[in-house]
Amino acid sequence: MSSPYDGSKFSLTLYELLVEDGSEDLQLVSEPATGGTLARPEGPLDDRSKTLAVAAAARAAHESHEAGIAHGSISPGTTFLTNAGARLGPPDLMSPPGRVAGSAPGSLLSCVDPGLLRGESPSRASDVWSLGASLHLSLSRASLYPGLDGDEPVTAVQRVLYGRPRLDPTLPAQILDVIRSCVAADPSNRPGSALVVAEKLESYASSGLSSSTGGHGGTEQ
Amino acid sequence: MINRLEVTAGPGTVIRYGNVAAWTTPDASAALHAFLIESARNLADSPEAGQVLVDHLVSVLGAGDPEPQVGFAVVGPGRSGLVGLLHGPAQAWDGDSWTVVSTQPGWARLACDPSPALFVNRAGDATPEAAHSSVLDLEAGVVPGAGFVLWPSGTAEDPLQTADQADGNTPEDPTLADTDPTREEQERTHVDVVPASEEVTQVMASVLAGDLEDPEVPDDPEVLAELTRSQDATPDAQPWVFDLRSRPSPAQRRGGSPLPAIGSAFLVDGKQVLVEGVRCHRGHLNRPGMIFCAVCSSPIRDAEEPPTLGPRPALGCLVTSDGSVYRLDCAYRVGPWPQGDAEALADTEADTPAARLTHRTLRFGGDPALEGRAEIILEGWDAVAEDGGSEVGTYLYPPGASKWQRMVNGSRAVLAPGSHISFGRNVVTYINPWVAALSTEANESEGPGNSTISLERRPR
Repeated sequence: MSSPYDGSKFSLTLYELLVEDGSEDLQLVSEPATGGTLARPEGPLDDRSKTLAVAAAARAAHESHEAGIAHGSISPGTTFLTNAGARLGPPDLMSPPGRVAGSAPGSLLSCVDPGLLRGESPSRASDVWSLGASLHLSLSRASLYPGLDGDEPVTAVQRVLYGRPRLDPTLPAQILDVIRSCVAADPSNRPGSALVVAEKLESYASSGLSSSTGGHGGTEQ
Repeated sequence: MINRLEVTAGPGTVIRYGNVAAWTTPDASAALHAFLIESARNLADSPEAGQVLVDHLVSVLGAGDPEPQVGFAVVGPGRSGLVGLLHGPAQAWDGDSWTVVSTQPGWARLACDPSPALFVNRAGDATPEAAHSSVLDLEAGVVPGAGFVLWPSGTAEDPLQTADQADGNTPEDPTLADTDPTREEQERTHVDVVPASEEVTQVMASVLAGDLEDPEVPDDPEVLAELTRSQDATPDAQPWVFDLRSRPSPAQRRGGSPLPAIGSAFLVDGKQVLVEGVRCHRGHLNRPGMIFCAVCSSPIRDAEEPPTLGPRPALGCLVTSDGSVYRLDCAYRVGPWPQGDAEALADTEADTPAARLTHRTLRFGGDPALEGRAEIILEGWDAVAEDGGSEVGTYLYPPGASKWQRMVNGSRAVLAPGSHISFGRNVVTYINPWVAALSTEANESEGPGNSTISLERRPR
């Protein structure tokens, strides 16, 4: 896969939107995501590529934030892998107004800021939370909320709302620092912008992770 | 240094004397106000007024923060540009970056070169609108205000417009798009398109801009006929195709204010709903009686003190039986609501604007007629279920109950967190993080809603 930073855009390019006559369904035509998504990549991805993919999503989120738009559904499933690099997909245009998460809460809720479950609207800070959670979900096999996947919907919501995320201690310290700051309970303690997250991840990826290594830790270049 | 100081309407206090501007949240003490006003007066004409004031404040705060929960900001000239200090729940946007206050030390220095203006208000509130022609231009004095927009000396008559003209772009300029049609044409395989009309692309602009609540689809047949058609589609199943390539991406949209650094104000028809609550030491408003903050889990130090008035946060979420989660920041309706009823409800809304917000509809995917008819509205810190009168009925299952309880037609019941509400075959669970006080109140009364619902066995 080429660098996620070919070109200047980090959002998935949308070509067309189709509305079937008499249907409420929308169909989006976008640039092809030949690599799948960060959640389900078509091929193996090393930790450096995963980290840079989240960084690209962070840059895309920052661009939207600067234009006054919160994404609200950043996750590995909405981070697409194209020939030109990682791209953040659009918000869920199919989602009914007010819906925070869909009917598969186990996987989605782990990337949802608990603030949204308190009823808050998506924001810069909630997207930063989602970026941190996406990074954790991508690099670790451990869930931020152990047991979440097997929970019934109501229990899953309560686990996220009243629990605290548990970070995988086997992740590299610098990555843990980034994730920990992103998922801080108090939004004012999170990075002030997604750009800060992107820059930290890019810096780490360029210095602390080899592109040829898999696993959590990577090796020094 | 200060060309104009536009006051943002709302709770709080804005101060300006000469080149010194300050702002405080409504809970600032008289002593803090007196200090800021006197300091601004004394330093009004000082060429380094901001630096002097900030240095003094830092020394005071370093010895102990007397009002950690209060938000305030001071701005004035420094040795090289504007400097200032933010304290507590305050934020500043200088056109390039945000400055917010972290928990430690509880304040932050500000040094900026606003481009074109400096926006200061409460952390989490929406970025104030910049209106260079605003009549709320404070020359000197102390006035109510939720923040301010500071235009430094040297800004043009209308800096926003000038900036757009300078770079050749206007918010509507479609040339912002930088897509490569040739490449896209090669990659696009199943739909042939021609550029859509301005009206249609405006629809998509609103969709992509996040106005997803009620995207307006054009109903003009000529406009729709202008849209492109699938080559493979049959006449009966032609999709409307909106060409997005000629539109700027959301990130390229001009004219939208950047998001604030944290949160967003919970607004009802553009206004904040104020409720009484208690604040944690970080300034988060909680339900009276709570001893730990629902946002940051920090202790609420002054839980014994009388509640203060503040913007109400959203009240949790609704979890449907299929696992969808809906944020409870406005009222929801279930089932079909005839237009006449909607108008009648609109009349009622005029009496309780804080309770009845813009309604959303909970959709379960089945026949709406089998869902009954009900509403879930917000009142103070509570969610309230209202039966809309239908044969299907509305049923409640509060925590601790042993059976479903049918609501009397047209009755209402305060929902206890954890309550299940049944509309036909669909069940919704109400989850609210502000629970401590409610449990206390429930113990003191008969329990939420018990006096307004009848007990009937739920039909199978």
